[in-house]
Amino acid sequence: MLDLFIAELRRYRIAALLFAAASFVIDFLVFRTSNFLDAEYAVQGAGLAVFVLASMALAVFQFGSYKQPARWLWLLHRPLPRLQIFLALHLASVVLIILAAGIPMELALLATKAGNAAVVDTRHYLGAMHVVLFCILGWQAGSYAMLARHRGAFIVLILPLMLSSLYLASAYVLLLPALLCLLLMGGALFTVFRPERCSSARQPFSVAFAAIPMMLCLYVIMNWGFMIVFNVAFTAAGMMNPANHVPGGFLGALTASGERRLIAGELAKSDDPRAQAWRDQVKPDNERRFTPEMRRFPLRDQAGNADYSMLNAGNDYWVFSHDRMHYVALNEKLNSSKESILGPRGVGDVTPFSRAAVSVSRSKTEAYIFTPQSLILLDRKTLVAQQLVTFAGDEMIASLPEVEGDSLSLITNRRFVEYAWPAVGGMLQERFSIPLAGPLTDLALVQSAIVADGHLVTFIFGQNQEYGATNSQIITVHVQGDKITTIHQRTVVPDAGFLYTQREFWMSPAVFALLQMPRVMFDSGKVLDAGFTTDSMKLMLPRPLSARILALIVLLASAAAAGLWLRRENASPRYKVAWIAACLIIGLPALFALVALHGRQSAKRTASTVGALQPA
Amino acid sequence: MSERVPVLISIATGDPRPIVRQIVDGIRRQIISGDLPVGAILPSVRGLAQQLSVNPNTVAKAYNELSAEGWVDARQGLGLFVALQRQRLSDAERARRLHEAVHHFVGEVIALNYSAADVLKAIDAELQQFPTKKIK
Amino acid sequence: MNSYVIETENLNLRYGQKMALDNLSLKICRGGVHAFIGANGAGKSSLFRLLLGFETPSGGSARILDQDCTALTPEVRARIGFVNEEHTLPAWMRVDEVTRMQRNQYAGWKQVRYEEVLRNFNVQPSQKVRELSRGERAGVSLALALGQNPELLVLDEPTLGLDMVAKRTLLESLMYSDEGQDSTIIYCSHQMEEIERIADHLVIIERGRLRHMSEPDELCSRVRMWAAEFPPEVDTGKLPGLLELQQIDGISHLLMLDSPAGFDAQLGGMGARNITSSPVSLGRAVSGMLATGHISREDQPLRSHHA
Repeated sequence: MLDLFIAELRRYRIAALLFAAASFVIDFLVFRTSNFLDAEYAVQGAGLAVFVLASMALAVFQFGSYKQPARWLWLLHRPLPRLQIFLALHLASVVLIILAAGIPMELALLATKAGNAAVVDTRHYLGAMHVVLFCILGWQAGSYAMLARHRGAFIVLILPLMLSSLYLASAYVLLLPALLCLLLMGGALFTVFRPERCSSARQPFSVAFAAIPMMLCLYVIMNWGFMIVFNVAFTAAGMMNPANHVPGGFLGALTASGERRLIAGELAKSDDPRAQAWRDQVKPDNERRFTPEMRRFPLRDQAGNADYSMLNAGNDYWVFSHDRMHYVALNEKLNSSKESILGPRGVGDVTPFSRAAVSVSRSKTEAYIFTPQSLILLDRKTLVAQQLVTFAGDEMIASLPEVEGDSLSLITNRRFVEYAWPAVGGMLQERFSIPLAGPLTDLALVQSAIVADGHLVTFIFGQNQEYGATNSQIITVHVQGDKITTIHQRTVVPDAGFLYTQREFWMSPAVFALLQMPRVMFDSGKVLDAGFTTDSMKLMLPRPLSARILALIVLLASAAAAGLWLRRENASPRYKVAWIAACLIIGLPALFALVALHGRQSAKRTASTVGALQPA
Repeated sequence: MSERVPVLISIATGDPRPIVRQIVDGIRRQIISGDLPVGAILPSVRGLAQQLSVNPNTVAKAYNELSAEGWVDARQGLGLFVALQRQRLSDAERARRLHEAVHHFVGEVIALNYSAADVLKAIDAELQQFPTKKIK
Repeated sequence: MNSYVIETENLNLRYGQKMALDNLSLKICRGGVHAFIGANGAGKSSLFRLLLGFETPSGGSARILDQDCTALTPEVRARIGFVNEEHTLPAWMRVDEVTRMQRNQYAGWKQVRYEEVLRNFNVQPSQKVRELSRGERAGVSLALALGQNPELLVLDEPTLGLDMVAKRTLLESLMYSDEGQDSTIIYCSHQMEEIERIADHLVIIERGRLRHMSEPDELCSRVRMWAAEFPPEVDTGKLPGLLELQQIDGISHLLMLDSPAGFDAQLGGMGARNITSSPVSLGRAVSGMLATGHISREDQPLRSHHA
């Protein structure tokens, strides 16, 4: 086994060394000269994609040549257990990836830190390890796509993309799902790493293992596919045109809000005697819109970044360091002096922030610094910070503060608050506070207008309708001091049928629940709805009867279809029962996985082609 | 007089006669003509196989046949020796074999349109090459 | 010890719509050189790949060295050597490095035998695989297989594309080795010249089926070429045992399998004149056994073509 391992290492030694040199140089330049280390996850994701694609390319080259019949025979016809052959090749690739991508990146990070050109936290070093793990996963997926003889093997290539969707959680915590993915994909790869290159029908366990990545990827592709097709059709049918909006629907309400006639429209439908009088007072320029944009906060040791978190103040660039939990200046001269630290009370304050902070500039002279439960105003010239407001319990800030005239408005996950502006001697004073009548994640926007005797505020819920929320409301209230009265409330009419909105559920309730687990288990800095300690809102969403009946029908139909597909196949009863049971529990993804993996005795199995003269 | 004598026969592929037959016939011819004298040691199985570029098993079969018919003797550990030629076959067997060979031969030359006298002359010429051994 | 190295029973292998192996049943006994003959696409390579476990049968069973081919253990693989026409070797290594890897993996390695074959081909251990000629690569491939000292050695068209010298060296290295055990050799080829020289047994495969199995001498003795002039109205196509029929210049040439005693009399009875017969070479007999027309069982007429 050692011989094979070393032989495979030597096969790619030149390529690995070249790649290592290039990646060190490029990594170092990028880390040093740009703010890549603090860039948002989309940008970092693009960088990660380059490495993952490179390791997929390695797999394609490596197994593209090995899968040719003569070479595959050379590799596997030897007196070694196939596990050893597999491990020899797998470990060789792991070592190559570590040498070509991992070590250069860690060295580049160290060099960047030494030059104080960017803030390098522990999470960044961990991030380089995660890049290695992703590359290994990409290699495994690419190898499987090359070797597996069944149809549709290439869909496992999206597995790294699926894993990356978790990457706003802590870099430490994410080691677990990353390693689980590697075990899963590695196991699936091992099941096809046999002379005939397909999982044996006589070993149901190996088929099950190979089926899991296929099913997960199939589910995701079915969802994305449906979503894309539906949206294209929806737009093509002209449904986005305001004239075609469903009356009383979500899109209609958004359009009305955009045209600043939302509140007027709601008042027109109200029975309240004062409605008419208010309608005359509310003019389009009066209606102000607020959106809960802060859906996420940075998390300590977050693997990616939700947002850019660079602060430009006092002739310096400040970056939030997760290791030290305060802002650090990038100015080399200030390296370790107190002037290079920015804490909750401003420059020189060494107290750490309780949570990772994010900043947004307000004007040339001022900026906001947020944590989920405190809002700070920073003077960008003097670098003095003032606490504006703090929240307790499970209340979290959910929007940027909107200042107009003498008021500052803020949405939290519990309420919509207006404060007197500017703050006089310390924290802000509340003018009024309206509790949210629905979950924050379902809140699309808040619209308010001033009238003679107070404020009119309309809340549009329905943001999550597209993802299965039902019974979203549009609520208009009147508030004056402490007195809040509901003026009008109506249920949002769905813009799309339950077939589309409940798609994640009915396609496979089991896989849906499984894929929600990481969201529930790992904190990713998301602003949670009131009363929730984990991001389980989507998982616990009540499903309408129509969706549940449809899901049941789909499960039964999948099981029946599986039975039909397997009816004349030559396999043991235990095997057939296992597949039918899987389709009964998992639904459509299992059925498609069966069609892909099992094929049919009479269906095509491409005949092996004769290999070329010279082995690679 | 025990010495290794080279067996100078050649094998043709694509010949109607199987290789075993070619080897047996060739060695018999050499023994009869005296190129392989009595007491000469035949090459080893492997050696002759290598010389002729054929499977050693084929040579082994040929040697077995020659041995069974009495053309060669096996001596323990020393190899195969050309034996004193005694007529091993019965008269009836000899006659049968002669008749079969003649029948075969006639079948092959009948269409050539030679006169019987010419054919007999050709046979005579061929037989002249071998010292006749009338051993009874 | 089982006396059969390979046994198949009603073996089926399907590729899409095509049956690569069709109800193939054969038993290969231990010892000697078994020549597998068949046209390209007849199923020989598929059979070997299946026997080594690289294809799963669609039906029937196959055993090699008394183990089910779909579940070969490393111990059994250690006893089976394989050489194919591509002579696959890792191009990025040197000959001695490849050898070291093989030697470490095979417990019964015979270094002397390996070196002998390598010498025959004039290959230096320090040469890079990438720089070897085709014939030299074939030599290394064979040396590695023979060094393994296998109980069963399978060669799938190993001399295809080799020059005369390399071909001869390969066959000699295969047949004339002092060391090592007597391997059972399966030699697959369609070059009759080679087959005639080395085969102890013949296995003729056609369209995935076993067409004929016997020893070369036996086949030659059973096949005979008859030539005669027939009156035009006689249908000679239906004679039992007819392998091939050719009409050349008014004379019918019939290649017959197991023509009965007194066949010439029988032909005479049908009105034939100028009846002659002659034995045929092994190559002719084999090509007669292989039909390009429809498949039929042995002893049934296959096809006729007219010149």
